[in-house]
Amino acid sequence: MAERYEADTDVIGMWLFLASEVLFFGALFFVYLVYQHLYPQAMAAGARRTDLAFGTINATLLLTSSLAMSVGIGWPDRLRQAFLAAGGLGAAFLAVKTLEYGQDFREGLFPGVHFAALTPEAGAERLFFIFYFTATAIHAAHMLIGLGLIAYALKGKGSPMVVALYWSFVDIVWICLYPLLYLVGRGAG
Amino acid sequence: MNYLTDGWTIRSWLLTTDHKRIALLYLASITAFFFLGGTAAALIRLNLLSPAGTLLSAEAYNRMMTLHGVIMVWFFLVPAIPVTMGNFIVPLMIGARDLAFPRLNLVSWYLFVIAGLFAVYGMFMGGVDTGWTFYAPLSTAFSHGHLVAVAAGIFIAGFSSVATGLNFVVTIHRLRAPGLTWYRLPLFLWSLYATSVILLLATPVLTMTLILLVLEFSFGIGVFDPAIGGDPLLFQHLFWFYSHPAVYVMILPGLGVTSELVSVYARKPVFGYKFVAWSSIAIAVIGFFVWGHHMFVAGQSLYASLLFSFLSFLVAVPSAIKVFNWLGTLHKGRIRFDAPMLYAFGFIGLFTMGGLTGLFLAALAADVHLTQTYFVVAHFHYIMVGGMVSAYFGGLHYWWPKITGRMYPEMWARAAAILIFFGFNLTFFPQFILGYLGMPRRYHAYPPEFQILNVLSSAGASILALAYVLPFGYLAWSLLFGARAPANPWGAPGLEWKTQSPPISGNFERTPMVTEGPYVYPPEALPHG
Amino acid sequence: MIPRSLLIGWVGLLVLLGAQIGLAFLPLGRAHLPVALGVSVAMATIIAWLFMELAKAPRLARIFAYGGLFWVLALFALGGADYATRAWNRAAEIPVLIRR
Repeated sequence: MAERYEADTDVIGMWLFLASEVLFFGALFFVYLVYQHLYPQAMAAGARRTDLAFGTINATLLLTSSLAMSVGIGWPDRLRQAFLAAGGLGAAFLAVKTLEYGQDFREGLFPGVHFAALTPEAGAERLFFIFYFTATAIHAAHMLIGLGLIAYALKGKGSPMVVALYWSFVDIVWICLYPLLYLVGRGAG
Repeated sequence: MNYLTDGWTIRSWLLTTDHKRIALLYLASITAFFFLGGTAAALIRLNLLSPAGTLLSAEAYNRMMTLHGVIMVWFFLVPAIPVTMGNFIVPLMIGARDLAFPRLNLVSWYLFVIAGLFAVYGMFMGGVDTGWTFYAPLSTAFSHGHLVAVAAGIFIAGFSSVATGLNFVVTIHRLRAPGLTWYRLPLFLWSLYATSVILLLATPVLTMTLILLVLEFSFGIGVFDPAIGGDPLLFQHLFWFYSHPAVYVMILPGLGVTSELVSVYARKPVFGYKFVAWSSIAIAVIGFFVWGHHMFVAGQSLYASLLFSFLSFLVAVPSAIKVFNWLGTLHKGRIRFDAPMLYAFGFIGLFTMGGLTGLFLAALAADVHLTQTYFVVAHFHYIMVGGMVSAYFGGLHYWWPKITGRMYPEMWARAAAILIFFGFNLTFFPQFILGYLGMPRRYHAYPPEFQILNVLSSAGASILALAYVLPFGYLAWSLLFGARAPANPWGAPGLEWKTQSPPISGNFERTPMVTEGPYVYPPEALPHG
Repeated sequence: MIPRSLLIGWVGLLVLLGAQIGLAFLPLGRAHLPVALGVSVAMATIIAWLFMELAKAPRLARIFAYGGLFWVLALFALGGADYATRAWNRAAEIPVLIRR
C-alpha cells in the first residue's frame, strides 16, 4: 500500500515535469508557427530539402523504442531486455541523426557562412534551418539524457515507470517535430 | 534537541536533506544577493543625484541597472519567500516530516548557488548593458557584454525554480496530514501552490528563449535577427510569456504571508477564506494571459493589444478581492501592532498603490505616454519592494521564533518597519511624478528640471538602505542574545505552531491530526506580551 | 509475449506515420500543416494513452497532462493573435525580408 502510494507520487511528479517540458518545446514550436505564418514558401522550401528517408527511419526507430519501453513496464520479468532494446533503438536514432547531420553539412544546409539558399527568400530559408538544427539538437540532448536514465534504471536505481514516461515523451516530441521538418512542403500545392 | 543541534559538521549542512536546513542555506544566499542588488541600486540613485549623471558613465550606468534588475529579479524576488519560508514552513504547516522530494530540494539549492556564481561572474567581468529584459537585436547584435555567463546563470536558476515548484505541488497534493482537506489549508499554502504552478509552466519558456538568445549572440544564427526576416517582437513574446507570470511568482507568496499575518494579528479568521484561496489560483491563471501589455508600443497588433489590455484589467480583480477581504478580516478584530503586522499594513497600502497604478498602464492610451518612463519604474517597485519586500520581512519576523528559537527585539523591529515605510515612499513616490512629467527610465542623465524629484528619491533611498540594514543587524543579534521563544509566541493557529521552537529534525513527535479549519482562535488562549 | 493492445497500438502508429507521409504529397495547399499536425496529435494520443498508461495513471497525472497542453495552446493562441491580426490595419508594416 505504501509502495503503491510512493510509486504513484513518482508518476505524478514525472507527469508534472513533462507538463513543463511541453511548455519548453512549445516555445520552439511557437517560433516555427510564427515563421510558417510569415514565410510559408520559405518554410516549405526548407522542408523539401531535409532527408525524408533519414527522418522516417528515425521516427520508426523511436516508435518501436517506445513500444519496447512500455512492454518492459508491463512485464517486469523482461524489463531488462526491454529497456536494453529501447536504449539500443535510441542509440541507433542518434547514429542515424549523426549521419544525417553530416549529409546536411555537406549540402550546405547549416545556416552559417556557407549556407546554400535555393529560393529568393534566402533569409527565411535560414530561419527554417536554424529551427531545424536547434530543434533536432535539443531533442538529441533529451535522447542522451534518456539513455543515461535507462542506464540508471538498468542498475536497479530509480523508478522504471518514470524513465519510460520520459522516454515516450521525447518520442512524442519527435512525432510533432517530424511533419514540420520533413513533410510540410512536399505537396504539389 | 532540535534540527539546528542535530549535527555540527559542515557536511551535515552541505549534504543535508532536511528542508529546514536547506531553507537556511537559501536564506544566506538570498540575503547575499539582496545586498548585492541593493548596492547596485545605491549606485544608481547616487548617480541620479545630478542631472548630468557624473558618477557613472552611460555605459557603466546601463551595466549597473542591468545588474540590479537581473540580481533582484532572478536571485532575490523570484526565490525569496518560496525557498526560505516556503521550504521551512510548508512541511510543518502540512503536518509532514519533509517535502515530497528532499534530495531534489538540496539539488535545487546547489543549482541556485551555481547559477548565482555564473551571473555574478558575468557581472563582475563587466556585465551586460541591455537591461534585465535583454531585448533582441540589441542584446544579440549590438551589445557586446558578457551575455553568455549571465544568461547561463539565469538558465540554471530556472531549473532550480522548476525543482522547487515541482516539490511544493506534489507535497501539497500528497503529504497533507490526516484531516487536512484543501479548505482547511492555510492561505499561505494556496498561494505557494499557485506560485509553483506558474514556476512549472512559465520557466521552461524562458529556458528556451535564453537558448535561442545565446545561439544568436554567440554564433550569429538566431531566430530574432531582422536581417534574415526574424521578428524582434517574437523575442518579446517569448520573454514576457515567462516574465509576466514571473511577477506573480514574486508577489503571490507575499499575498499569502499577508493573509496569515492579518489573521493572526487581528486574531480573527480570514474573511471570505474561499474567495481568498481561489483568488490566488485566479491570479496565476489569468496572469498567464496578459503578457502583451509589455508590448503595446513595440509593434504588436492593435487588436491583440486590446485583448491583452482587457485581460490585464481582469487580473486586477482577484488581487482586489484579497485586499477587501483583508480589510474585512481587520474589521472588529483584536489588532496588535507587532512588527509583522506593521509590515502587513505596509504591504496592503503599498501593494494597493502599486496595483492601481498598474491599471493606468494597462489602459492603451495612457500607456502610450507612460510606458518606458519612471511611472512604470515606480509602479513595479511599489509592488515588488513596497509590497513583496515588506511581506518578506513580515513573514521573516513572524516565523523567526519558529525558525531560530529566538525572539527578535520588538521595538527595533517596529522602528525598522516604520522607517522602511517612510523611506520607501520618499524613494518611489517622486518617481510616479517624474514618469508623469516624462522622464524616461534607464537613462543615466536627465534634463535639469527633474533634479529636485530625483534628489528626493535618492534621499529616500538612503533612508531605505539604512532601514534594510537594521533588521540584518538586530536579527543577527537575536541569534545569540534574543529571548528564547516558546512553541507558540503569537497564540497563532496552524500546525507549525504545535511543535517546539526550533522544531526537531522530524518536525513532529507524532503526525498531527487536523479536525478544524485553519483560523480558529480559542477565546481563552491569549498570547504573551 | 508482447501484450496485444501494445502491438496493435504500434501497428496503428506505423500506419498513421505512413498516412502522414502520403498526405504530405497530396495537393492540400494551406491545409498541409493542420492535417500533418492533426495526425501527429493522433499518434501522440496513442502513445500517451496506451504506452505511457495515462488512462491507468492517477487522476492527478491526467490533470497535469491536460494542464500542460492547455497552457501551450494558450501561448499559441494569444501569441498568434498578434501575428494573425497585424495586417488588419497596418498592411504595409508586415516585416520586410531583406534579401541577401
